[in-house]
Amino acid sequence: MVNDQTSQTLPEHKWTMVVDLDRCTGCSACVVACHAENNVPIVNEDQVWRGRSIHWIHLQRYWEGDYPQKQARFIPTMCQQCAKAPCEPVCPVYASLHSTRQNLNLQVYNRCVGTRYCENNDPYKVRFFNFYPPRFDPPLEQQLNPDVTVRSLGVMEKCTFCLQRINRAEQAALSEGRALRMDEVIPACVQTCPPSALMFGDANDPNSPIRQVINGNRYRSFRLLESLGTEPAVVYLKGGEAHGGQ
Amino acid sequence: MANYLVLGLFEEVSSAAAAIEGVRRIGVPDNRVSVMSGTPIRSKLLGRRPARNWLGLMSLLGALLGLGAAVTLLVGAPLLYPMYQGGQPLIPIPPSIIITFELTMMVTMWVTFGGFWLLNRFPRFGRPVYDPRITAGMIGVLVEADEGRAGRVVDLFKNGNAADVQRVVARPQIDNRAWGRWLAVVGVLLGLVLIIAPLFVYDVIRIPFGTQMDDQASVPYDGGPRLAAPANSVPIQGPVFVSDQPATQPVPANPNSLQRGQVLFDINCALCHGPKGDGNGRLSGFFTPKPFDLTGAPVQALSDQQIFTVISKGFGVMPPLHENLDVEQRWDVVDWVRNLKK
Amino acid sequence: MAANEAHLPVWKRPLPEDPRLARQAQQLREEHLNLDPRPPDEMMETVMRPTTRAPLAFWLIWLLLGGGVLTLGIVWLIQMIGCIGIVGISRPVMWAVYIANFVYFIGIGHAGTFISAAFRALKISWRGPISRAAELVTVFGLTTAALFPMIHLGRTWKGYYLIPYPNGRGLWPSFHSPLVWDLIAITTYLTCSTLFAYLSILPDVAMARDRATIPWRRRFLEVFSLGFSGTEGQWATLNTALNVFTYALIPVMFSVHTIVSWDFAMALQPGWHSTVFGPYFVVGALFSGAAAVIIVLALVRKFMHLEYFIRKEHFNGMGLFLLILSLTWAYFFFNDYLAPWYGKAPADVALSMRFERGLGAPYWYLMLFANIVVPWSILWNRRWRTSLPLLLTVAVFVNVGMYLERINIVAIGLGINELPFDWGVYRLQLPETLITIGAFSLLGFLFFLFSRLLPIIPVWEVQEGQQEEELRHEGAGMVVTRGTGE
Repeated sequence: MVNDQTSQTLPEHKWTMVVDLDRCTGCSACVVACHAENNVPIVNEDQVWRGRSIHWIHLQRYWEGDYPQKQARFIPTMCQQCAKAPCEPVCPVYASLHSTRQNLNLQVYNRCVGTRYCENNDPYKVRFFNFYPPRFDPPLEQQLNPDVTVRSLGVMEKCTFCLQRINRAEQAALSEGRALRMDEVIPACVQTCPPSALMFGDANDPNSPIRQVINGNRYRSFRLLESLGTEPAVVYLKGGEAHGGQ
Repeated sequence: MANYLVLGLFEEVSSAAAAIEGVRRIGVPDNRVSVMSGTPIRSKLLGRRPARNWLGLMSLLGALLGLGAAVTLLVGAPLLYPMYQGGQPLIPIPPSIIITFELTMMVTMWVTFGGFWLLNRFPRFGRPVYDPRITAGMIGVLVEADEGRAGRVVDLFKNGNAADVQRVVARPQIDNRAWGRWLAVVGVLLGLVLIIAPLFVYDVIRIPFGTQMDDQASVPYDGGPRLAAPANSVPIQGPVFVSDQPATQPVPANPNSLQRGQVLFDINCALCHGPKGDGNGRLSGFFTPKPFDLTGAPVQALSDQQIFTVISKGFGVMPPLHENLDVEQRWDVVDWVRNLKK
Repeated sequence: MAANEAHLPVWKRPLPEDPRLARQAQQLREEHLNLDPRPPDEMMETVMRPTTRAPLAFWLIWLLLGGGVLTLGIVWLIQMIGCIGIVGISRPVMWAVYIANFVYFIGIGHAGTFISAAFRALKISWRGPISRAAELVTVFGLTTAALFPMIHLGRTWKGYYLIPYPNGRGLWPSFHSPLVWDLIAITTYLTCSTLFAYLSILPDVAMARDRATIPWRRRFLEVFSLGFSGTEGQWATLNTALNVFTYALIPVMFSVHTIVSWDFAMALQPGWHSTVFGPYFVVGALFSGAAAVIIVLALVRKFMHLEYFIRKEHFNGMGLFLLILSLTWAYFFFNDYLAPWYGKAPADVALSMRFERGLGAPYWYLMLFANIVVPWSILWNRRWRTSLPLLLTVAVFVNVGMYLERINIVAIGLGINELPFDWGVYRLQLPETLITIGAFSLLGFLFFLFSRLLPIIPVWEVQEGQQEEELRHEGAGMVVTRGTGE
């Protein structure tokens, strides 16, 4: 429930992810980690050619220049968890809605009827639709994370900032009667990223590491498609020769 | 007392109008004269007062009903079940205007249609005095009069170029009883729908549809069988169950650990497994199979990791305790269980 | 004209002796339906004869259309069982042919309401015989359109989540969403158009009932006519009801296609997020609807032998209506094109390039040709406008052009968005083609079904129009004049 009784006792979080483009090597470990953690299905070759592959976090790759100075630029893109998410109000059945306490964009799989309006209204195109029922041939179903619903056909899905891990950490803290520690909450992609290009935390907490990172890097921070007014929760830090590197 | 109906068919408006004027002069009141035609004729042409109808008022009531329904939906639903979307307020004004407009219009038109049926007592049952030539362009003038006047009306019609004149004993034009029965049937059917539908919608009658995501393909924590991961493939924090490797304990079995383990065992485990771990706890009689004897061979032959896993994830009826005990505490319990062997 | 002939109905009156006046009277009667009344029996017979007699070709074509409807049903079933993936949509083109069909079929319904409601409110005299056929385009078009929101859903069997009804889970649809506005608006429009059509057909059903000889037809018409007998009270309430519906349906009609356009305008998608979409779509709907009505009228006139009712004046009027709408559509299209062209936002420029030079070019230029070049070059000339084959060609072109307009906006437009990595291309697949063919078949099938049962020309409204011509105000009163006999 979005507005449950514990919301009075639990603090309001502003979960933010920072992506340091200077450190990202484009290795796609985050993509694999997300697949493993969130039961994201793999589609077959024909479907990939049709553009239906599902990768909650994926690397947008842009080629710059001509041979032999050709370069690839990567932007790891996941659901930006916008504060004013355009994908939310267009959902006719409240399958896409906003958590005012976690400041996250929720996707309720069982409510989704598959109108796909949310994807049309999403300027980042980070939502993915299950055109076919996901198949996990044995023994792959044993790898599936029981904390995360395996979606059925006709349902939209997207990155949730590993809400299951956030909930688990909050429940642990609640059951132990203490405050949530920032190092307890770590999404799969952030956990896996080898050069630590991805960072995660609660920007509402002035002492959290993420707050320090954001405050210290304002000179090179930007958000994707800021002018659209979606207020994304993902901060990108410019890298490469955008500020004197290579 | 009026007891005859006279129907005169006229080919033209002017002769019908003249006949109506004549009937009025004979002394028949206006409300005992009715005019039937295949196309609408303006009452001015016939010298009649326009028929009063209440349909406009009903349409207005319908509009108010629609407005009420819209406001109830738009204000009631978000206030009772608040859910936030896209930075918009719970009751956004522009969408509310749209929905209010459409619902008001819809209910207005439905009520108008229903009112049209009600006011005219449609569908009409009974045997009205009627002639099919009316829809062929004739104008029918139906007069209800007592015996004396009825005869004069017949003569008037015949002299007034009527194409046909019929005279019958007065009978009701609408069978109100049959119409009432029809309304009752419709009401009962509607009522049935309104009673039965909520039974399904509020899960009083539950149809076990597969919602498709009830049966998850993933293996739950306390389910199985689960294959072991290949050696050294998955780095995790916690015990790694790898067969044929010696057991390792992150918490060595020193006296502190054993003391902690005993306290935790007494709190969490003794009720079922007994304070000595022999499976004779106070609740053991309630379980089938009975809680295991932890001092005996099958349990003590397990590796430390296996005991740790059973404590964490449960086993059969035994619940998982990973939320009650953190990792160090569980190792303390494992130390104590080992201690019980002696 | 002799005094004793003044009381004769028009069709019995002799022509004037003066040959010039006689020729004039003859010409007026030929050109204007309202000046050429015939005995009501004869009119009814002309209208009802096709319902009782149909050539073999009719049955064969109806069978074919039935096969098309069956195809629609079967392919839809296959799509539900064999997954929505068999369709051509992909990321980012999540809406394509089904939504374009949806918009198209709702669009063609608008002209029907315009002719039966707005023309009635404006008291346009030549709307008489065509209003029911136009209204049927609305009703049947909307019925077909209403299938598509269900067909395009990923989980169609859960589509009832969109209906606002009190339930045990406390879940209501989101009134923030344009799709819910769509649901309410289209339900309103469909149900109220059907009720409006029923109200206006009631006196004709009474006429047909009084004339029916075949027992099962008579029984059907008796039930359908509700016992309508044409008393003053019934006419008065019918008139009030029709007025309420007329004045309520006109704003509803405008609002419905505006709301459908808001499915697109509310999105942040380049090419969609334009405030001009509301009126643009309404005018586009009227435009395609007028063309559809022309096609239906031409077919009905030819194959049901209704040349008495539907004359050159009606096609002239419809042709002019089509021309005006083409001009208005072009105006709104230019508005929609100009702002992104001028603003040069990168995503908008990319979208325009796809239409002007890229893979959308053939569809875009064909749309412009069919919607602007063809009507403007033909409809300005009265002789060409009233020539049935030419007008029919223009109407078909307009329908093709307007269908392409929706495909351009939805299927091709979604391929371009803000982030170039996410651009895509839509590829049409067989299920969508079959279902589209099935939808058109459904439209035809319903028309064929109607034509077997009920009169397609509103004879009572034609008669009313003809009688209006014979009435003149005289002071505070009204008199019946001698009509066109002199």
